[in-house]
Amino acid sequence: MKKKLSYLLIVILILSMFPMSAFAADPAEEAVTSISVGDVPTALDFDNSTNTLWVVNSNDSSVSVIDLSTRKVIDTLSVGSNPHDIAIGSKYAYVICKDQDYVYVYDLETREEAGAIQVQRYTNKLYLAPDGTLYVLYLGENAGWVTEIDTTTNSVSKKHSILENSTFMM
Amino acid sequence: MVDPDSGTAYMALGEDLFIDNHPDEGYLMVDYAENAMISLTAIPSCIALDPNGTHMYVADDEDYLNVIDLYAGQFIEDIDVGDIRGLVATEDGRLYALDGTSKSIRVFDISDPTAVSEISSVGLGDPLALNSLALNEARNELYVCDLYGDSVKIIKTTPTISSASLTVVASDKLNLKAALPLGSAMVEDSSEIGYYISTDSKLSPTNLVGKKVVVKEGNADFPYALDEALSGLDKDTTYYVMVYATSEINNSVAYSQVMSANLAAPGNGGNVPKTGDNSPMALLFLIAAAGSAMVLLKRTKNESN
Repeated sequence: MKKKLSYLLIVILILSMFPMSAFAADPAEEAVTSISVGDVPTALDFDNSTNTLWVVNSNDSSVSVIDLSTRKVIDTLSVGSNPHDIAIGSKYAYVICKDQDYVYVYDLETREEAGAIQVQRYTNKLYLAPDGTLYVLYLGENAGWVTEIDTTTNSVSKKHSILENSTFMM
Repeated sequence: MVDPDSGTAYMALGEDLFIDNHPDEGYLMVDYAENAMISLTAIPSCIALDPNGTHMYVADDEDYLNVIDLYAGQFIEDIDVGDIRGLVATEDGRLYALDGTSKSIRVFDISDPTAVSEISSVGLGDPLALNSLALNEARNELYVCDLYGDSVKIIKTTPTISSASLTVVASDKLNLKAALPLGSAMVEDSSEIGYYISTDSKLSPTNLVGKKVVVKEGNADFPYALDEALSGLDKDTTYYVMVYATSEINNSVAYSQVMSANLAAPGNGGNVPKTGDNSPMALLFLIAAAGSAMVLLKRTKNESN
C-alpha cells in the first residue's frame, strides 16, 4: 500500500513539474482558433452585447451560438430547412432559409424563437442597415424582390419589385 | 449593403452592379436608372463600401478587385487579387479580403483608393472552402466559415504574444523569451518585435519608460520565438521587462505582461506570474514532494530497523 502511495506521489510529482499550458493552450492566446459547428456553415454574424457569434449551418438546419470569451458552442438552435444567411440586430437575430417563406427571429438573450416574418420563398440575402431596417433580398432568373422589415416591430414595412429579367449570382 | 448616410443600396447582380440612389424616398430600391448603373466586366462576388460611402470595392469572378469612385461613377482601378469570398472595409483605411485560393485573409491599405496596396496576409491553414467574413472591431477579431471543415475560424487582428518569461542567468545577465504563434496578425513589412527594459517599476503599456530594444523588424516567419540574452546589466538591481509586437494590419501594438527580475538572486525568475506558470500546480508540487519525502523517510527508517 505504501509502495503504491509512493508511486502515486512520484507520478504527481512528475506531472506537477509541467505547466498546465503544456497540456491545454488558452484559447484566448491563440492567433487563429478553429471551432467545430454544424454541417456546412455558410454565414455568420456576431453580437457584442451577449458576446456571441451566431453561425448558420445550412446542411443540418441549425444555428450554432458560440461564446466568444470561452470559444465554445453554448447553444444549437433548430431552424427551418436550408438556412442561408443571418443578420444580428440590437435585440434579435434574423435567419433566412431558402426553402421557407419566413425570416425567423430569435431573441439574443434567451436564444428562443421570437417569431417568424413571412417573406418570399428562396430568399438569397439579408442586409441590416444601421438604422435598424432589415432588407431581405430575393433575386431569381427573371425577377427580384426586396422586402423591408422594421426591426422595432419585426413586421414588413415595404416590398419592392426589382430587376425584371436579370440574372443573379452571389 | 446600405450606406446609412445616403440611404443608397448596393447589390451584386449578374454582370452589372446596380446602385440605387434614391435617398429622398428613404428606402432601398434597385432600379435601372441609367445614372445609377455601372457595368462590370465580370460577375461580382462580394462588395464592400468604405465607411465614408465614397468608394466601393467589388471582387469579381475573374479574380479582380474593382475600385469604384461612387461620386464620379467610374472605375479607378482593378487589381488581380484571386478568388475573394468576403470583403470588409474599415474606418481606418483597411480592406480585409477573404481569399479562397490562398486560404488566407489579405489586408489592403485603402487609405488612398487610387493606390490600393496589399500590406499583409494571415494564413488560415488548409481548409477546403471558405465563406463569409465578419470583422468585430470591438474585439479585434475576424470570423470566417470553413464550409466543409464544419467549423468557424476566429482570427485575431492584433499581434499575439502567447508566452513571455524572464530568467536570471548570471549576476549581470537576464534571458528573455517570448513566442508569437502562427497567424498572429503580423505583417510582412513594417512589423516590429522587441522589448522595453527599465529599472522603473512603473513600466506599463501606458507608461513606456526605459530603453526600447528592437529585436526584429520587417519580415518575420511565424511562429516566431524571441530568445534574447540581456547582458551588461547592473548587479543588485531589479529590472522590469515587457515584450511588444506591432501590427500594420490595424496599427495596433500588443504587449506582454511586465516581468521583473532581481539580479541579486541568480536562477530566480521574474516575480510576476509568467504565462505557463501555474500556482495550483506549484502547490501540488510541494504537496507531492513533501509526501514523497515522508514516505521515503519512513521506509528508510523501517529498513534500518
